[in-house]
Amino acid sequence: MAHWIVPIAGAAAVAFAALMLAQRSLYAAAICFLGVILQAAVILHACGGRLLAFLLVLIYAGAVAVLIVVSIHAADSAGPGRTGSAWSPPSLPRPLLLVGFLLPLAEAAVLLAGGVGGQAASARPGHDLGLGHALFGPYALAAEAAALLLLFAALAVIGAEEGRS
Amino acid sequence: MSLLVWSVSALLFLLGLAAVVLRRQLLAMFLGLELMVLAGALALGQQAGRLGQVEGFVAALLALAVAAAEAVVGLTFILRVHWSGRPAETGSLEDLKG
Repeated sequence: MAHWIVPIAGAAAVAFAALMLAQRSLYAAAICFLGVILQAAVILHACGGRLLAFLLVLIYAGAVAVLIVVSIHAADSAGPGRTGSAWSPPSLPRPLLLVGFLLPLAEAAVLLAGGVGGQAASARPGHDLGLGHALFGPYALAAEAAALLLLFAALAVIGAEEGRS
Repeated sequence: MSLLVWSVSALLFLLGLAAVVLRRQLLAMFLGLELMVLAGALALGQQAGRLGQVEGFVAALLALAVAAAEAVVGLTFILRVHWSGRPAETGSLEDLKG
């Protein structure tokens, strides 16, 4: 198993989560949350869940985190509910931001290059294939239900916005 | 290794819980909720990888999908509270309408 990547990623994930809790700025908290997501994806990859790690980055970093930042920006620019420093721009020091984004990149590069984590992941090559088979086989109904839930959530948001306007 | 990931998951869950309990801004509480879901998915994925069972990965994936739907609806509610002129904080949501 990955002997040194997982402790580093775990420590970084906990550190970013603690920073997220301590931040007054919501922008900075969202950036810290993004750091936690990336480190969690590295841990999942090292544990053999490569597809799950990819989907975690795709869903959370690519959709949910962006949605959160856009919501903060929309609420920030709207004005009436501003609560002082809560909406202030990111106050994280730049070296910390660099570490937050370069560290998972370096860890992922080591894993993908077949380092210690890559060996761990390739030790059970059937995980991704098995996950695909499970999602389109015995758990197809659950996967369809989750997809419908996402569709209904999007429709509900559209309906709510039309009602507001 | 397994104990380490369990510990990280537990710490992430506790920090998310602390964000939900201690913060007053709805968006900060929402970030804490998402952190708790992420910690659960991390524990499920680690255990599935250790035992070699894909059911854990499926459960983690479905949890992430449900959390994404929750994010869409939750953020819309938070924005509606904000646009209604009230601060998006817990103190402004003490009464139910109707």
